[in-house]
Order: sequence, then C-alpha cells, then structure tokens
Amino acid sequence: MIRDSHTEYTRFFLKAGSLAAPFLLLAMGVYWADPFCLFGSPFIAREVKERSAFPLNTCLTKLIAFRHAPNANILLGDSRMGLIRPEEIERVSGAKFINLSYGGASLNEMVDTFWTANKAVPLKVVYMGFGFSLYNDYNFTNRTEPAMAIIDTPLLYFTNITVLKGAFYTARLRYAGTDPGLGLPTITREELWADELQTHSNWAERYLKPVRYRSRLEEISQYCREKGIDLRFIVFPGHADLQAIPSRFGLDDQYFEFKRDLARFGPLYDFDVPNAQTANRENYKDPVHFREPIARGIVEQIWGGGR
Amino acid sequence: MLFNSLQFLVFFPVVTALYFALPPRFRGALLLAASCYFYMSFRPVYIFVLAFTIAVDYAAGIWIDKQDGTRRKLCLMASVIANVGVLAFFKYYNFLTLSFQSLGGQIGWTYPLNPLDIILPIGLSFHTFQSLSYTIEVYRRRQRPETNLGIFALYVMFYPQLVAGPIERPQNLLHQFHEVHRFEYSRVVAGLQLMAWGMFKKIVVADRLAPFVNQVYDHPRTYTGISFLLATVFFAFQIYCDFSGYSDIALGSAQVMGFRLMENFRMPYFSPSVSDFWRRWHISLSTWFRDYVYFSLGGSRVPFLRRYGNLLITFLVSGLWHGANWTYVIWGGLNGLYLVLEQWGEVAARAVFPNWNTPRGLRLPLRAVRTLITFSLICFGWIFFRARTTADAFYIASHLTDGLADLPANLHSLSFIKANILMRLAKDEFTLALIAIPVLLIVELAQHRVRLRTFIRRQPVYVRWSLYYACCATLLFFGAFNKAKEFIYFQF
Repeated sequence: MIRDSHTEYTRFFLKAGSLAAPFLLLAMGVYWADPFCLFGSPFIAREVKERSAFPLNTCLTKLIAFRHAPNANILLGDSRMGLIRPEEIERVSGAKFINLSYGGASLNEMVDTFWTANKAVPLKVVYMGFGFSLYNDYNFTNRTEPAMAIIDTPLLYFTNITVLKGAFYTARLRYAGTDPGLGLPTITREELWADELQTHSNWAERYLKPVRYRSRLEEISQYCREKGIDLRFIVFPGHADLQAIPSRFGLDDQYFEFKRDLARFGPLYDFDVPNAQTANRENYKDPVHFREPIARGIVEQIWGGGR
Repeated sequence: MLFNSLQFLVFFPVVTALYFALPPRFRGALLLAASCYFYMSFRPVYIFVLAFTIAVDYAAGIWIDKQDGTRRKLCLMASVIANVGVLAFFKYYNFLTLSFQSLGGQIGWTYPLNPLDIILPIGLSFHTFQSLSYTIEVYRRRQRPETNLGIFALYVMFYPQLVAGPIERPQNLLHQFHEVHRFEYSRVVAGLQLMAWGMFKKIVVADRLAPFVNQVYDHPRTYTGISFLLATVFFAFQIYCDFSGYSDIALGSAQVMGFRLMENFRMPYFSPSVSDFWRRWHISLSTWFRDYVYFSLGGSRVPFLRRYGNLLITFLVSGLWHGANWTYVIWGGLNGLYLVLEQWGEVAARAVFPNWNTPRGLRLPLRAVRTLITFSLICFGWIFFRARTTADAFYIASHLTDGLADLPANLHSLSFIKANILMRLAKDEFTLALIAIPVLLIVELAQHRVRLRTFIRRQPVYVRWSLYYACCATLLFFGAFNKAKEFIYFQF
C-alpha cells in the first residue's frame, strides 16, 4: 500500500473542521431556539415562538404541531378555513379538530396535506373548504414541499432560511424583548379589497379546466369511501364583488360545474350564494375573508346541527 | 442517486475515503462497485443494458485491433449497430412509432406497430456515445484496445460522469485508471471547490429558477409576452446552471480522487457568435459530433452548399440526440440554420468590405452588442428545447411581444406583478433568483481574467476564509434542498 502523507490528511481535516465549526455552532443555536418546535426543545416558551416564528411559515408550524399531536379529524383549506376555529367546533359539537389550513393555499397543497396527515394517523373526518378560484389548473402551485421535506428529513431544519430567521427573532424577542411584529397589515383595507379582487380576476382570466385537480380530488374521494373516512366540502361565502367574477369572465358554467364536482366527491355545504349577508361589506375584511360572526354562523350550521 | 441528494453526501466521502485507504490494486474494483451502486440506485435492471454495451465494445475493441481492411470495418459497424440499436430501441422506438402512426392517420394507412411501455435508461445517450468513441478511436488507430475488462467497464461507467457526461475520449480517461493517485491537499481542495461551485449553480440558481420556468411553460396559454420573455431568459440560466453545475460536480469529484475530466462549458453566454457559443457549450458533445459526424460527412472541406448541408445534418442529429421529440429536432435545426447564416454572412461581409478593420474604440461595444444578439438567438432556440409540444413552442414564440406596450402602465399594479412577473410564486424566491444570476455572471466574467481559485489564493487569510464561510452559508441557507431535483440532462 502506498502511504499518503499524514501531513496532507491532517492539514485537510483541520481546515475542514475549521470550516464546519461555525455552522455546527449555528445548528446548535437553531436547536436551542427551535423556532417551530420540531425537536420540542424546552429552552424558550412556545408563547414566545407564536409571536416570533410561527407566522413566518404557518404550513411548517401546523404540520410540525400535527406530527407531535396527530388528530383523526382535520380541517383543510385556505385562509378562509383558517377563520374556522377548532375551539368553536368543540364548543358546539364536542368534536376535536386540528386546523391544517394555510393562508393563500392552493388545492394542491390541501391534497398533499391530506396525504401527509393520513400517513401520520388514519383519518376519520376531513373538511375541505375553499372557493371556485382555487378549482383551476392554472393555480397549481405547491409550497408545502419544503415543510414536508423538513419533517421527513429534520437535517433540513438547520439549513432552512425561514427557520434561521425564526431562531433569530425568537432569541431576540426572548432576550431583548424586540417583537418582530409579524402578521401586521401593511396596506389599507381599500387597497387590500382591490388587490384581492384583482388577484381573483387574474385567476378567472387564466382559467384552466381543472383536469388535474378533479383527478386528485377524485382519488381522495375514492380513498375516503374505501377507508370509511367522512370527507365533506365547504364552499365559503364570498362577498358579492367576488361572486360577480365568474360571470364577468364567462365562467358561470364552470362555476356550477365546480359545485357539482364537489357534491359528487362528498357532502357539500354551499354558503356561496347571493344574499343580504354577502352583499354587506361590513361582514368582510376583504371580498374573500368574512368576519368572526359569519365564521361562528358557519360553525353553528355545520357542526351545531342548527342549534 | 443525485449529486444534490443526501445519499450522495454520504456516498461521496465514503467512496473517496475508501479509495485513498485501499491499496492501489483494489481501487479499481472499489470504483467499479461504487459506480454500479451509483447507477443501480436509479433503476437497477438497466445495469444489464450498460453491461451489454460494455461487453460489446470491449470485444469490438480487441477484434478491431486484430483485423485489417473490410473485416476491421465490419467489426466497427457491428459495434456501431449494437450501440445505436440499443439507443434507438429505448429512445426512439416510441417516437418513431407515434410519428408513423400520426403520418399514417393522415394518409389513410394503418401503421402496424404500437408504442411500448419502456422507460429510458438514465444517461443512455451519454454512456453509449462514450463507449462508441472508444471503438471509433481504436478503429482509427488512435487508441490501443483495453484488455482489462474491469478498466474498460470503469471507463464507460465511472460514476462522476456516468449519467450526464462529460462524454470522455479514451485518450483522455482510459490511461488514468492505470495510474496511482495519492491524497494531495491542494488537488483535493481544488476539487471540492469546484464541486461547491457546481452545487451553487444547481441548487441556488437552477433549482430556484425552475418553478418560474415550469409555471409558464406548463401553462403557456395563460401567460403573455413579459412572462414568456422572463421565463425563457430564466430557462437559459436554469439549463446552463443545471448542466454546467452537474459537470462541475462531476469534474470536481473526479479531481478529488485524482482524475482529470474534460472541461464541458466555457462561459457560453459570453460568446459573440453562435459558432463561438457551440465551441463553449457542452464541449464534450459538440466535439463528439464534430469529430464523428461532421468530419465523417466531409466537414468543411467540401463545396460550400454541401458544407452547409453537413452543418444542418449535424445539428439535426444533435437535436435528436437530446430527445425523441420534434421540439428538439426543431431546436437543433434552428441552431444549424443560425450557423449556416452566420458563415454565409461572414463570407458576404468579407466580400463587400474586404479591408474592414473595426476601430479600436468600437471593439468592446461591438462585442457587447454581438454577445447580446447571440444570447437572444440562443434564448429563442431554448423556447423549442423547453416547450412540451411544438404547438406550445410556436405559441410562445409568436406571443413573445404581446402586452409589452402596456408594460410600463401595468407595472404599477401589484396583482399584475404577482401574476405575470412573480408567476404566483414567492417574492423572496424571485429576488433570490434575480440576485443569483448576476453573481454567477460576475464570477464567470472575473474568471475570464484570472481563475477564481488563483484569485482566492492570492487574498489575505481573513478575506479567503470569509469567502469560504460566505460560500458555505450561501449553499446551506439559499440552496433549494427541500426536494432533490433531477438534473435536466439526465433525461437524455
């Protein structure tokens, strides 16, 4: 055997160690702060992280929480489903749910979350809530991949820039008392109203027949039937301005087809009908997101058995 | 096993450590076993296809060397037919069947064959071409046949360049497997630096750009001009960083163990002409086609019309090599056409202005303009390369300028920006992608004058180490690690 120079090896490993050392220290810091509670590290209270890190990535926060305390009853959807509070459901029905909805979620993300949740625990009851604009193959983005990858491979937790940011905010809030002020509005209500309408108009303008979505939902529906999972759908009430968009873009037929499809996949609660409530701007923060009283009404109607 | 996967992060140090720890006589066997494991991690059964290619060309090399005249030629033909046959079956059978079926449908003839449910063995076009170059070189008496089957197998399936090149020539690589490589600090570090740079290109630039490109090219009919332009320019950098990133990792990982692979890219987007671009892009394939196709057709030593024909044929074949789809054929043809027009233009310009000499002060601006024009032409070609169908490609190509007149007014609308520029993806991702491209270009441009490694070595220790830390931090925190994404050229 040819003996390679020991000096060369020593030099290499010393320098490699020097290069790696700060990153190992940083990883220890991330573990210590554990901004999204992946490792359940006890050094900083969860309440601090709720202000300093959780809003940075709700998807990661919710999936990690679900992994630690899985529940067979889940709520899936976009920010509208986020307005449905599991405590409210428990109050009216006694059933415990976990809300796995994300702001700005696509249907793709909901479907992936369904399969991820089902892998963690055999599901019993699933509610999926969204609107017509998401049932559009154009809107086929998927941002849950990084969160799912982190959960599958925790090593990625240490290389994720959002986690690093969360760790920094958490340490700063804990020791310097500086609140990062996450989740505070940056535009006025009027600007938000116009922006939401424009965003939904863009989707309608680029409407693509939901071939892929239909098949993904069909697959879930079939699976739920086979496994005895109670799968239900909710179409949330949009403001009249939002309800007018399908007609404006000649998508009335597609809009009704959307509701027919959902009704085929499982029982459907359809709240998106023109009435005095949806005509009143005061019931809404913006054309998409309703206020608390409407959310409570929805919970009453679905889970309260009309009580 | 992808270079950007966690598996490789374990595989590479283990194989390298074992390589230097083992006595030299066992190193070849180790590399062969590692290469088999590497290849089988994709789809184990296709190792038999690789074994077939190796067996045929190993025997062909020895037979060719022993024969003369017609028999020698026959041995070469047998090797070419076997290699091209395997390639044709796996890569082109379905393409040809579907094309004939479609043609038959139009002229009222029922084509009797049906497509088969086959998956293309990974890197087939690369290792087939590498193996073919060996038999051709032995035939041309420029390479002695390799009698050690293990060494020859290693030449065809050396894991760093097995699935996406560089397509090595036997004269460069084969003899290196007979050499003994020692652990040398400076060479190992240089190799690791090259791997890190390749990783930067792949996971920080290419994989960050991919979602924007996919969004537009997967739904072209929902986008307009500015999105097409952005997505196409992004794709130009995505494919460059994806492929040259792969090549850098391949070269770097081979260098760590003491092997020198050929350079595959040399700043192609700084080329002032299309012909120059093809001298700098995928060099190992371009030279393969030049040496074995273009020169075999007569090259440029034939009348000018035939020379142009040779160029077009070479590029059409090159297009077809990239994929069994008409989009690739058009892409190849388009690049061939660029070259024909460029050569013809040069001849015409020399005839009209025989004594033209560009003034000194105009050389740099003129070169910049020529580089920009070349980049635009290459980007236009990429539309056909990336589009899923020819219909999509022609749609994008014919709507490139749609809505550009209204762009200044639309840029005030947040929702327009979200839908057409950010393509519904996160702003941070977009910003990161936008920053990564100039970083890449600046580093490449700087390398033009002095190699980055030399430049770094000349710096004081604190600058050098700051650069190392910054580089590692960029890779760790800005790399798209969430899901190891395949390299684009793996499909070829």
